[in-house]
Amino acid sequence: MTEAAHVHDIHSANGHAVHAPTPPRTGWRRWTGPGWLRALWFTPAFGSLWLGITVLLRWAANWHPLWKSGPIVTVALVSYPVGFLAAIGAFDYWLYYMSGRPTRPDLHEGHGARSWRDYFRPNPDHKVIGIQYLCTVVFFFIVGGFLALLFRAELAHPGDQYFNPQTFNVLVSNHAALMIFLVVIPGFAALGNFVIPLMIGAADMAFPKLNALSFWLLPIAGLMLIGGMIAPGGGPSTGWTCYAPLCSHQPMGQIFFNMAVQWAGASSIMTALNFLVTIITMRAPGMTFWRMPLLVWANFSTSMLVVLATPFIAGSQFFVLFDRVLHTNYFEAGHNGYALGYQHIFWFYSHPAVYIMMLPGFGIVSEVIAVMSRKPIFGYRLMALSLLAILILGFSVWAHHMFVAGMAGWLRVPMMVTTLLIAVPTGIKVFSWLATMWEGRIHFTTPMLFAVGFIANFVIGGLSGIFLGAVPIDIQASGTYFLVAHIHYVLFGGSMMTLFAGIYYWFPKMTGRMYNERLGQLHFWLTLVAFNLTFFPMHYLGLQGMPRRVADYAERFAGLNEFISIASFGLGASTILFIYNMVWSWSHGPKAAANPWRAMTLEWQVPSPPPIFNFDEIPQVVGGPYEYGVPGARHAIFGAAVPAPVTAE
Amino acid sequence: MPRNPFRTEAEAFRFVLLTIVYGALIVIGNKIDPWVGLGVFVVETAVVAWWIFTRGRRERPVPQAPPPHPAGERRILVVANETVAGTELIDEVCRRCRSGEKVLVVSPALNSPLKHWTSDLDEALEDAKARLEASLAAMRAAGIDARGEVGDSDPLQAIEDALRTFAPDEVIISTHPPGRSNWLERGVVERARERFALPVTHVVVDLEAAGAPT
Amino acid sequence: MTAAAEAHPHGHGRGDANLHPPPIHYSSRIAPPIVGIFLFIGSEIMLFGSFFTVYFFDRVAANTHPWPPIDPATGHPYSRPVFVALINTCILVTSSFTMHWATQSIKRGHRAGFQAGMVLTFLLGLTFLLGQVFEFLRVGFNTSDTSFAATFFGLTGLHGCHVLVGLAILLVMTIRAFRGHFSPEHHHGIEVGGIYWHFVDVMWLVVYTTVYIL
Repeated sequence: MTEAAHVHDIHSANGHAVHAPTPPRTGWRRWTGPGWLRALWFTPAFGSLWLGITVLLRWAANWHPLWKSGPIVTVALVSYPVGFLAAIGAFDYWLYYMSGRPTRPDLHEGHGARSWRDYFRPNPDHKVIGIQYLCTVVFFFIVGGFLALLFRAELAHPGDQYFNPQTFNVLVSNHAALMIFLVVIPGFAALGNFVIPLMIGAADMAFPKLNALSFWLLPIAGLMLIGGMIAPGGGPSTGWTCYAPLCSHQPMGQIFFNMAVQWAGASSIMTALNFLVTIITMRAPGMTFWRMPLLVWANFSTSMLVVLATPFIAGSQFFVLFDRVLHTNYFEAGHNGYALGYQHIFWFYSHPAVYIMMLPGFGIVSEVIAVMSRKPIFGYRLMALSLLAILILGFSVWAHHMFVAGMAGWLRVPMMVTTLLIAVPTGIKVFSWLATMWEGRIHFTTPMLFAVGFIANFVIGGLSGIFLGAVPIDIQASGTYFLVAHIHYVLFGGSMMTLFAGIYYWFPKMTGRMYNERLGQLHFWLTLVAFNLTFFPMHYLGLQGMPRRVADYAERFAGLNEFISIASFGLGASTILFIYNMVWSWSHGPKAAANPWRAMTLEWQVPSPPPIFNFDEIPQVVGGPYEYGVPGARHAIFGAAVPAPVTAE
Repeated sequence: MPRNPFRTEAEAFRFVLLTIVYGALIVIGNKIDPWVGLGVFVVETAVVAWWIFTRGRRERPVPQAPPPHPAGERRILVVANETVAGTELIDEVCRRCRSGEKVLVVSPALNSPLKHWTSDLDEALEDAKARLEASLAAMRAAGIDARGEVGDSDPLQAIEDALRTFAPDEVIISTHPPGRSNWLERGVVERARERFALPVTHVVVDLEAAGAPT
Repeated sequence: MTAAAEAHPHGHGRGDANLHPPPIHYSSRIAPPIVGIFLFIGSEIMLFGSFFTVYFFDRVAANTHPWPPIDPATGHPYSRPVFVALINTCILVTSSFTMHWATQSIKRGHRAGFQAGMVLTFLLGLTFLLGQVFEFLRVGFNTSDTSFAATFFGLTGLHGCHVLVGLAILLVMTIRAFRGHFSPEHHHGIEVGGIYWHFVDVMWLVVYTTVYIL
């Protein structure tokens, strides 16, 4: 049974008939079939249609001016992307289903990549989608990083050199928004997309077509954010947090921000739903929950967080948008609104968001450390349980972002307690990784370097988090560079490093080629040094009183700021190194074996890159995934039962 | 963990009905007196909570039929832990092995709950291995072609794994007598009969009576 | 070593995985589309949750008295069309019953009952939505009249959007029902749509109570 198995499928899910591929369209039909050519004319047509309808309705209701920017831009930011998605064929399957035409089978022709073209269309193959995500994420990482270099250049010296404060705020806000919504969250979705079906022994995700659609929402969100920066009147400058009521009284570019978050959120929720259903319903025989690799556990917990928490940021953006476009008064104090409500609703998502940005990284690190230390993960069950504990506790700490916001005083101490409490399961994980490495036979390959570097940096970030979790310290340090240091230690020294670890680790599996190890090591060391030189001094700066999100600052902070700016350019240089390694290795690297790391998890038991449908037949799981060094241990077997070649020795 | 109550459209519809009843009772109670309404709400919520936590656990889906082993061969799977070297068990196996049947002995590495959740398996693995050696020695002395494996700590999971790797034709489960057997308390034999489409024989080994080494 | 690819008794050579997928294995007794729709509903409940949260902040945390606030134009509190909405509530609840009837009918192969149920459900849902829209046009306040209006239109509007999407789904299902596209074996589309519709119904009960009664 596939996505909609019913009598009008061309063949059943398990049918082995191989159809001749549909012939490519010729002549004018190229402009009517799903694809970019159709998008060229259909997108503006569909978008304009809805703008026309909007103007018509406004005229009928006698609302003037007819072309008021608020409603017009809002409608446009929905109708144009929807038109684009329809034109490239992202909705085709459901449209066929709805109109009662025979649907093309799910896992069949059209599935998988046989040429570069297959990466530029909605492709239901999870491996293609993973790579599409990764390339998109790397692109937005470069853009977001470039924005950071721009404002670091401005911050090198006190005074306004290159940008006025308004533009500075735009740079800072969008750097954060891009990094959070377009890099870290989808970056983990990318790796998860590629690896999880392979790791659980499935041929693809539970809903491949939905998966394809959810990818295409992401470039739309990214372009919308970037478009907002150059919108007339000025870009979004209220921080990535976009607090009400300020956010509802901004130039038009702010609407781009509000809508881009919705598109990114929708993509995130769809992907998470897919992950959850896949993990629940499509594991290989014998793979109980307690035999899943920790990456699968991590993505399971993360997906629960995404599905439950993301609607709250959607709600918050709806409210500020409605306050602006529909003249509602959710957050306007003069009309019985409650401004602080925005912050509660926003942070109720955005705190779990940081766990969404971290838990998959924990999973990646568990994989890498076990394999590179040739040892079972220490305390596997508690590792899985601590993921669930973080999932649950993560919903109870949001107001620690609001200690100085003027909220109800009685809420502070309980939130402080829960915040400090969440360090416990996280600490269990850190000690577990260390214990895994203890007396292991460690191979310091690039993924392992990033994993170990992650542990070191994340502990620093976690410690500054403990400081900030204490209300008295937060009163002093909130809104200063201490916070900026904390954020970046956990998000760059934390999440990004695990992303790098994962990209290097699965690079041979994804591309079939091995990356250059020396360049990888150089990338690691350059990143580690530049990163720490950039962000460690910020702890001091913050405690000395330098506020965040300011284009100008007091003279006494000048020296450190200049130092930090120079170091940040080193960080930019390390990224160039990374890109070069990836591009060159993908095209010219030596061919990789199926299992270069001698790992036991299922994704390494298929060729590199994997065949289009992953497995000839579903493996049967007969043991845990981390039994390195345990004689006779097997994770899975393929094919017929064979006489076990080993005894209990 | 309680069974998920949301699995079909019928259950979703039942939820609609229950919600209506739940709400209507509160509204009626409220009309009589607000305190009555509150009381109705508290009682109803308590009932719902009790019902959620006392629902039984559904069995896992039946595993796929394992691939068959080469024809002309008969394979027996023996599952035993502390009783793995018991004489009654060895006798039962001998009785069945008259024409060169292959025997796989699986000794699940049973563990205390605390050690199970902290993944402290080493001692359990060692103990299971030691018992297994004794059992294999006894079987080989009796002329049986036997191999052994230490299995998953859950006996049913251990059987399932052996079904995949060994594809036996029948299973013999050996336990302590009722009253002393943890496995019988957990209904391992009945659940094995329910879950696996293979003949399952239950052998009771009374180690105390026999004074056999564990 | 670990998982090794051995000989295949099924006659599949290597290279199959490039042509067609292996037979799917399901690790859960609930079908993926059903798990998916229940999880999606969980997400939508949280979305409604954010709207209820802002309602809580605007009414309780902001300590807004009285609720509804006094309309400066009339000197009386804003009036909510409680009775009309009650009628609409009954209509929507009835549509859940007809939806369930439709699902049960197709499960038993009673095509006439199935089609009648689908048509009735769609018409009842459409009546509900149109009724709400007409009431919106006649209610004595618009979106900018204090946070009361914001939360009123927000909650009912969000629900209305969900009803609209639900009607679209019902329309598709109804048309296909008349084309004979479902059967007792293949009706996941109906189950999924039915579950979604029941969710819309229960959510309306909560929205109605919060917005019109409390």
